[in-house]
Amino acid sequence: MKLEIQPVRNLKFENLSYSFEGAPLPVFENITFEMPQAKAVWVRSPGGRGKTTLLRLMAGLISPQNGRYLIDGQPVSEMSFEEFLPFRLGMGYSFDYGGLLNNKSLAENLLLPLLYHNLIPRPEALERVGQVLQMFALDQNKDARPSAVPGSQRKMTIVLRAFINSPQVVFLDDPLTGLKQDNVNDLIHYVEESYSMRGLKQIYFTSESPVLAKHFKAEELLISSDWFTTRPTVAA
Amino acid sequence: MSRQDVIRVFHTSLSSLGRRITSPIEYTLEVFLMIYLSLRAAFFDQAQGLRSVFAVVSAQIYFTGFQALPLISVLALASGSIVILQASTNLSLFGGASMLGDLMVVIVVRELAPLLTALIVIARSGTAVASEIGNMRVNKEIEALESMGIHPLSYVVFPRLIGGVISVICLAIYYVLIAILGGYLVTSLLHQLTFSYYADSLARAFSSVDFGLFLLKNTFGGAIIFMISCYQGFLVKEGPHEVPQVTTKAVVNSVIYVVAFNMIVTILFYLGRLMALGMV
Repeated sequence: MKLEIQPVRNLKFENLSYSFEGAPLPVFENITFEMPQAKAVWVRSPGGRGKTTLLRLMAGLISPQNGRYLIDGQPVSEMSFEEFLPFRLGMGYSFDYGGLLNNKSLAENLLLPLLYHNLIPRPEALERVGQVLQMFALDQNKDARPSAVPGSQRKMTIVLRAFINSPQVVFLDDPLTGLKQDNVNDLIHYVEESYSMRGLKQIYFTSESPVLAKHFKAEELLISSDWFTTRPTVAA
Repeated sequence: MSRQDVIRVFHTSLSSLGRRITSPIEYTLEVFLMIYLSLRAAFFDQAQGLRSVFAVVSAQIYFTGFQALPLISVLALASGSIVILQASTNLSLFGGASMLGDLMVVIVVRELAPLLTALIVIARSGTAVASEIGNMRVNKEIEALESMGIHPLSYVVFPRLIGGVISVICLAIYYVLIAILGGYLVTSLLHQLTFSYYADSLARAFSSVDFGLFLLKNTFGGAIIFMISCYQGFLVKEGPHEVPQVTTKAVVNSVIYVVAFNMIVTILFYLGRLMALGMV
């Protein structure tokens, strides 16, 4: 079956609240906010105040306890896994740590999202993954499992997997931590190419470093437990 | 102690008793719900389907089935030899040597093979599955699958369940073969027992009911082990310290549920026999 990928646009929170089980205070409380349309959004907050939680909510990996998260007017928390799938295939997600399948090689980790849903023919998927591995000098370790390669290569692979499907929106949780400077430059180049050639519309990222924000002239999304606001990147 | 204290103690004891009764039922229902969702995702969700899971099924069969063969061989050989040796020695004292085949079928095929195979699979693979899935939770691999649009229950649980059940059935068949043939070879070194006599006794004793009972116990026994082990693995929430806890719980619960299931099947079987004979 060929899956129809839905456009991911107009992301909105309506009276949304989220709290961790057993936590005394909610991470977000009664937030109503329409996400900025800028092509790069730098999510910022003091440490431990919900940057990762926000990205996970937006990627549909967790559901709010109260309120609604809408994509193009459609409430995500009311959708089943199958109903959300067409939106999910238009998204990419990179974790701050972990996230690679430990019993698969780096190349297999990159191939999995392409082959599982038959998004493109196998030879094309192999070629695409081969090119990416070569571009980021990962090809020598392509058959090694994540535990057998340096941390920077693991991090690079998890970031690249978020882009491998050619998604429209990518959520990057701390993508630069642990990367070498060469990799950072290559990543910026790859993201630029994704905007111009692979249909990428937006990236949402958290980062301690202003490098990405500066380069992509990102809009800052400042978050707190009960308010969100945006501004042009000041740090840039 | 005042009357109110007595009432309070009684109330507390009653609610504690109630929790003890309802929590295993709740646990069982949650395990079944997980299995229902994984089967639904695997069979009825066109976007998930059965592709990409065959590699996981074959890996599970290799780890659970093939790699357990040496251990199963030793146990089957030992238990088969002991049963044959004891039975042939003691039965002949009472003139019941012709019952050797019946005893082998009753003890080895109906009881020992399903139980010992299940215990070995729990020790080797139940623990492995629970800790593997627990570690996948810690390492955000389950969340990563979701982020790629891959249903974790379809991709992780379903193939392990199928591979596990196939492995348990094959291991139990292997156990019976080794116990019967190997046991005979060991016994024949110590005790005079002709193969034709032994084979004839076994052939007379073995019936389709035994085959049905054997299949029932092993199929459901295997399913119970992998359902519980997968479920326990998914219970990991916060960190690596939970992995050994859920693994231990997987072993304990699998043993309890498998032993209880085997006992219930055996009791119902013999109850049915007694009823057929008009004794109950």
